[in-house]
Amino acid sequence: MAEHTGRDAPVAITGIGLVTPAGIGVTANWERLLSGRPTAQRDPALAGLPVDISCRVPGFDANALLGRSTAWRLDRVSQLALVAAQEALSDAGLDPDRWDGTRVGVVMGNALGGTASYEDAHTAYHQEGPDQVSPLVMVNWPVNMISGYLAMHCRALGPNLVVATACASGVTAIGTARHMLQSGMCDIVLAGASEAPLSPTPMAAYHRMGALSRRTEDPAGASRPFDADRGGFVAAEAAAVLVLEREQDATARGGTVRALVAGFGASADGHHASAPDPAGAGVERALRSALADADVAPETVDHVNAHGTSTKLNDLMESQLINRVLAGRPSVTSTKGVTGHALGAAGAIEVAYTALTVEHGLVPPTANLDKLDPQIDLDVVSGAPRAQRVETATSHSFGFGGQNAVLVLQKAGTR
Amino acid sequence: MSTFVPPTFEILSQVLEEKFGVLRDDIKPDTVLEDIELDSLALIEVALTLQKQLGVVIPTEDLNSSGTVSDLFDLVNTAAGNA
Repeated sequence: MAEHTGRDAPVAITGIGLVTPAGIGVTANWERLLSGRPTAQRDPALAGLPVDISCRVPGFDANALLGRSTAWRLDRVSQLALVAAQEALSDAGLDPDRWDGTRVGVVMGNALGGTASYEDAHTAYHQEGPDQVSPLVMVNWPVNMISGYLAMHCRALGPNLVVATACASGVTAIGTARHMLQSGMCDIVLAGASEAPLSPTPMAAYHRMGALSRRTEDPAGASRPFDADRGGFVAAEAAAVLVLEREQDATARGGTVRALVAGFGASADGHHASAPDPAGAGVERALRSALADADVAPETVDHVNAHGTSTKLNDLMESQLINRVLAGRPSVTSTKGVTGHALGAAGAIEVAYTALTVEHGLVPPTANLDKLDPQIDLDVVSGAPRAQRVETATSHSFGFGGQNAVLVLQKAGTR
Repeated sequence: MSTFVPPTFEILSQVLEEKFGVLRDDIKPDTVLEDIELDSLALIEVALTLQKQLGVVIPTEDLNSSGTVSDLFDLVNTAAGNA
C-alpha cells in the first residue's frame, strides 16, 4: 500500500469514535452539539472544592462497555480511549483480526495521564503506607499507557506513542499521524486523544490558576466562549479516536472518506507558562504554516472550529488572530460551550466535530453566546445550527506552555 | 467487636468475580491464575483487595501467577491463620 506516500499524499479520516460529555458515540455527539445545550453540571466528585462543576461523559459504564475483566485494570483515561477506538474501527469498517497490525500505528494525545490512579495511590501511601500502593498505578498513571492499551486491544503493532502538548495534544497527535502516513511508516493510524482530569487535585490547581469559570451557581451557563460575561473554562473528560489512512488506500479498499486532513502547523510561543502571547505571534505561525502545508489561501477558509476556551485571554487573542489571518470572514464556532474543555482531548474531539461539519454542511452553534464581547469581531454561529457548505476549515488548539497546533480539514474530493 | 470469620472459597470466588471480572465458570480450584488474566501485577491488587475485605495480609512474594486458584485460596487461609 505504501506506493501512495509522499508529503503531498492526501490523508483521509475514515472512521470516528467519540466519547464526550455530549454523549457516547458520534450520533449522540452530533445531536447534542446541534442542540446547543450545554453539558456542564455540578459534580459530586468535586464536592467541597471552590469550583465543583464539570462536564462528564453521561452514563459511562466501563464494565458494560469494555467488560469487567478489562475495565478494572484501566484508568478512566484509557477506558474512554478504548471505547472511542472501538467505535472508530467499526465506523471505518476495519477488523483488527484481519489487518496487518505491524502497519497500524497509534498516536494519542493527553495532558495529565491517569490522574485518578495517581490520586488514589497517593492517598493510600499517606493514609496506609507504601505497602498499600497498587502496582497498577505505574501502568495507568503514565501518559504512554493510553496508546499501549490501544495496541493491546486493537492489535495495532506499528509505531505507538502519546504526544503531550497540553491542550493542543489532540491536534498534535492527528498532525503527527498524518506525517507518519505520508512518510510510509504506517498504512493506518488510530489517532486522537483522551483526558480524564476530573480529580480533586488537578481541579484545585486549575482553580488556583484562575483558569476555571467560577459560575458555580449556574453550571449550564459557565462555559460561554466569546461571550462578554465569560470568565474561564469548565473542565471536561473525553476521548476521540480517528482512523486515518492515505486517501488512495482508503478509496481502494472501499472505505468512506469523512473528510481530508489537508494541513498541519505547530509552533511555540516561547512567552509564558500559561498565558497566551497577547500579540499572538506563535499562534499565527501555527495557523499560517498549516495553511501553507495544505496549500490553501487564507481567505478561502470558510469555517473555524476555534480553541474558544471561554477564558478572557484566549478568546480575545484568538479572535484577533482569525481577523488578522483569515480574511474571508469564516463562520466560527466553539463547541466548548456544549462540551466544556477536555484539555488534551479537546483538539481531537474538535477535529472530529470539524470533520462532521464539513461532511454534513452544518455548523453547530456556540452555546451560551448571549452577548458577543464588544472587543470581539467574529461571525460566531450561535442560537441554532447554520447550514453552510464548508470546503476548507481550520481547527485550532493552543496549550499551556505556549504550544500551538492547527489542522486544516477539507471536504472529500477537493484535493 | 466483630468476630473474625475464616474466608471460604465462596468469598474468594465472589471477590474474583465482582471486583476482577473473572467469569464464575472459570473459578475452579485447578484453574491457573494467569489463564484468567491474573498476572503478577493483578495478583498484588487481588491481595490488597483481600486485605481490605478480609483483614488478611498475604505476603506478595508468595503470590505466583503460575499457581492455581486453589494455591491462592491456600495462601488466603494461611494468612488467615496468622491473623
